[in-house]
Amino acid sequence: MPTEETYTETDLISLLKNKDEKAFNYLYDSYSAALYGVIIKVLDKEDWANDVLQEVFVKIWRNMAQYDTTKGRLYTWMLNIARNAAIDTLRSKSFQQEQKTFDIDNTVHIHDQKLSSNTNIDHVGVKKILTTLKEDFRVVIDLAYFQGYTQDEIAKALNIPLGTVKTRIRNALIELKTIFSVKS
Amino acid sequence: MNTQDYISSGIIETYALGAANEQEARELELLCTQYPEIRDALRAYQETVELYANQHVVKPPQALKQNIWEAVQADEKNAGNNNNTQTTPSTQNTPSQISLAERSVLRKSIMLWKYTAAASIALFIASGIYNFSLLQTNKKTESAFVSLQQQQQLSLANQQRTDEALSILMKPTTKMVVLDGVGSHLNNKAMLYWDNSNGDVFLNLNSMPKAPKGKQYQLWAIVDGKPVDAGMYDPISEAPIHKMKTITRAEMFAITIEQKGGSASPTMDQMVVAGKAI
Repeated sequence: MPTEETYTETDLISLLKNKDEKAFNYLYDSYSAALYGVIIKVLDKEDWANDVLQEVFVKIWRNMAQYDTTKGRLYTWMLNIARNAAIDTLRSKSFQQEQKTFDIDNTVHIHDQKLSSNTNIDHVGVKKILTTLKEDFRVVIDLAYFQGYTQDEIAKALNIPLGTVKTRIRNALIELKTIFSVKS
Repeated sequence: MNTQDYISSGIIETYALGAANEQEARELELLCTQYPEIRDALRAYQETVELYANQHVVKPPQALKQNIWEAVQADEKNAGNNNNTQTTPSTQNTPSQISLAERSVLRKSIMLWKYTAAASIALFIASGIYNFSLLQTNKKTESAFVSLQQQQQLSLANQQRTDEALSILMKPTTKMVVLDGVGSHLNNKAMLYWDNSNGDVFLNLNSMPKAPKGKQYQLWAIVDGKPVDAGMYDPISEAPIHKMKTITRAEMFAITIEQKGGSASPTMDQMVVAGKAI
């Protein structure tokens, strides 16, 4: 977990720029679970998620030298790479093709799986926060962050005006912020 | 600009969740460089999103770490050879246009690409050489074609002249006059074709030697016992017969060798051939 890091982010960045195995181990041990969690949440398919995680680390490693601290925190940068890669895969032809053929005879089963995979995650905190967060808020956050919907797509999907989407997203994040500040 | 209005517009939160459109995103990124309060607001929401993402932490399968380390190293080697064409992923939350599946195919085919590139270059050079030789052959063919074309034009012209000559000879009104050698020129013989209905005179000296340098053959018509200039024999073309001056009346024809350009009266000791007109 990044919150337990023994290096400051600046130290970590200079360590990572060495590009040795020690640096990789540290990066992987600190962030793989967070990145993998996002990827799994987007794709809900372990084999695909494994490929994407590999892709993500390759990309992080490759672009580490060009990472610019003024552009945002390292963790934000990495999370974005993971999320974007996962959403790219979610939208890819091959992924959707597999989903389609899978859906034909496993429609019921796949939904069961989805439910169980959510409950299987060994994080009691998840459920707690998700229950404290208003359902309306959770939906817009998940559509945007985990499904990669744009605000226009959210407006269409939920059949609400674009302005309402912005307001709802804003209120959702404000509420989340409050939940986290209370928690810590 | 009223930054408070902007901060409460919802754009920052939408951007932090990756749902802002391109224009909004670019605008916000620009504003962050100008207004620290906007940048701070964005950072705060990004942190919230990160905390939310952290709620979903899942440990990847144990074996994955080694695979990924190997993939990272392999990519690094590749990147060294491939002159880093990758761009830095932006901090913007927009998924790229290329899907992962496509990218992974891309990555797997890097080696194939190299071979393909090498093969293409070899092919390109080979085709260059081939093209050059084709060009040379083409040039030769072209010049051969041009000379053939010229030859054809020549033979067409020849054909035309022969046809003309033939049509003249075949005219019922055309008479053939044989001019026999005179004096020391006994071996010489000239052929003259004369149409006294219109006065056309044609001459063929093909069986005669060429006139000496600076000299020319001159044709004379003997009219009422007096020589009349009937023209210089000046064969420019290879036509079988050459038109001379118009002579409507003559008893005889004779040819003398004269200075180039001809004489007003014939040099009698230079007469080579002569023949009766009728």
